[in-house]
Amino acid sequence: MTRFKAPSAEALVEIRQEFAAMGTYHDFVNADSDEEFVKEITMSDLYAYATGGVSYPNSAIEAALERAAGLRSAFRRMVLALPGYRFERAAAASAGGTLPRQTQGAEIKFSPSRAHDDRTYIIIELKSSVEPIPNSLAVFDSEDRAVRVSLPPPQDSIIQLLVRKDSDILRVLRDPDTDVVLM
Amino acid sequence: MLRAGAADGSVAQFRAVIEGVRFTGTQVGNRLAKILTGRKTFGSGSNRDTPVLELCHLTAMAAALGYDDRNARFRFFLDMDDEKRSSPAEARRVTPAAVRHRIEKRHTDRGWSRDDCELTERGMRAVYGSETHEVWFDRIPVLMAFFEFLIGIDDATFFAEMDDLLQTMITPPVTLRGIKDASNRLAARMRLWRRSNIAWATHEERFDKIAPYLSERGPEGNWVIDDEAIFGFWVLHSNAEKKPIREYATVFEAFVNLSKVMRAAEAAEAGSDARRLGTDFEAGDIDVADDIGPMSGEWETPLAIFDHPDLKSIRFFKGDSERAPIERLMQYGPDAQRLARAFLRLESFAPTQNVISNAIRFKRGKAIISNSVACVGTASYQAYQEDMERVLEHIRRLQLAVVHVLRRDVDDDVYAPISEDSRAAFQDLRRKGFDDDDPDEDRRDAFRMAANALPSVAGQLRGLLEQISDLEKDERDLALIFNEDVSLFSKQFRAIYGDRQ
Repeated sequence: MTRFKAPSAEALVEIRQEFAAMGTYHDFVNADSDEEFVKEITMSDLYAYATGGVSYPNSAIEAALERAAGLRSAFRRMVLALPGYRFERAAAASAGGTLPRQTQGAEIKFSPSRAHDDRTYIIIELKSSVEPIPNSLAVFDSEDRAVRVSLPPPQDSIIQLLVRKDSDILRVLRDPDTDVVLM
Repeated sequence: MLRAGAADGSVAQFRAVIEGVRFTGTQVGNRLAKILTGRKTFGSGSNRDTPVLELCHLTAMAAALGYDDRNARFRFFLDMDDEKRSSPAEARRVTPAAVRHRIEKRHTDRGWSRDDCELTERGMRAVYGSETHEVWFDRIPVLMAFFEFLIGIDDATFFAEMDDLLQTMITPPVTLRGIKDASNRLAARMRLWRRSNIAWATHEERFDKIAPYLSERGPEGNWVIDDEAIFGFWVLHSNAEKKPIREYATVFEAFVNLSKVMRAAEAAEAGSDARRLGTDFEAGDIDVADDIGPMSGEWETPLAIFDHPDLKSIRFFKGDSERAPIERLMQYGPDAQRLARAFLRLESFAPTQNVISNAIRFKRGKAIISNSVACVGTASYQAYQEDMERVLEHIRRLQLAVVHVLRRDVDDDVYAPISEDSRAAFQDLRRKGFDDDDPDEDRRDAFRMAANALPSVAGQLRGLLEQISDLEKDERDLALIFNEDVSLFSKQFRAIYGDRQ
């Protein structure tokens, strides 16, 4: 048994407010662990995904990015904040093919494969060294959707990748209104 | 448990943060919940916006250690890059010790970029003219969790704005005015989030029923919260026509919450709850060695420590038979002792009421409802008492076993008389984690953590058992008390659910 002095009218307002806060606090802390919740992606998960701590592709994170524009925007911002190569947007759309992209210390060029009509080489030339050596190429479109491909290690500062002409990565690289990042 | 006042999405986001690898097994969850719901410590000088201001100060201090661009800030708050720890999961875990190590190392490697910042024994301090602000290492994990929660609210739609605000704030020269401006903007967004995600009204309506009930019940000028106040309120409101509060468990919790609020308010008024300002309000602003150690201030379940990853590999408790029976007692702690009969009612009759509710909800047949309304199968108080005695004995043996691990090589007057019992207790515990009485240092640390928590568990058990004995002294045999309550609850269940039978 506990006896309290009945609160004054003034104190009652504050106690009522704190009572509601404490009740809600218990709602958070004691939420039934058996209850079904949609598993949320945390921002540290997203950052780990951007920095390689969570490997690509991760289906749960990709599903969350697809669902929420805010998460996509946050992910893009995280990736663009990383040290590395960020390429300028292409000057204009090209009717004939994919335009090269340039940034300080690196360039991306494209060359059709002579052996396979349906394929193109993506050639990334690293003119300066940025650590860590990039292991993936990410392209963000205007809705912050990212297409990523893994990269082989550079040989004599050149990374070469053979992709299909109808691949997602070439589709977004053809769009001049995209941000290209080596991660 | 029904979540009366918090939106599902916000609870899911909260749980994702605190159950993730960074914060699991720590007490950050409780503290973060206090920040999100705007709970304050009476008399501490804090308000609902104080943690936001602390977060801004922390961001500015981290910037002065070189975490001064966007990526560095993300790394500081979202990624513990402590290379000394062993596993990938451990490397991501946010503890005060890891935070301290990281900041001290950073300070050694790079120093401050501003001359108004310094390291202190407990954390970091920045001086702005006549104002000083200090953030303790113990406080930083929950601020990191708060940062992570805040940038993720509403599917991260606030992320860019918050990021820009903080970047502007830390652009030199860093000023107190700039920090307060950023803090005000973040606090405004936090208030908006609370308005959208927290239904205060549910709890306020409960308060608006309880307050006049207690005033009327008297004695005049006093509110008395006891076993019969709780039961009487439940009888009055569980079958009300408008917005009934059906569950006894809900009523019990509401009265316990009100007791806590009243105690804190009275203590503050009496000036006996004087606290230092500025560092760790949610923890009662006390000095803790790390965030999993025992805490003073508001009661927190000592069982939480056994969810720490380092302790999970040692089977201190069997879930169903040794931990589950005491989970609720440890949750309510001293309040369960103060309200012993009300708590016994909770343990025995709340599960019966759940059976009735679920039987109605899932259409499980009238026989189940009728039997439960008559309290057939309700666990008796005597059975509960025996359960508690059994678990208390298990705790006693656990304590002996832990002493054996930690003191077996110590030859002193304290240990010598119990050395044989300790050894025997350890050897009798044939379960995971009790197979090597000379474990490595990490495992010994885990046993030390348990050694700190077990006396608190035992203390609550003993305290409740004493209260139960007192009930028997004051009233009658426990079986008679139980039978009396069976009649009372059965009568009220009939009033609430009679037409469903």
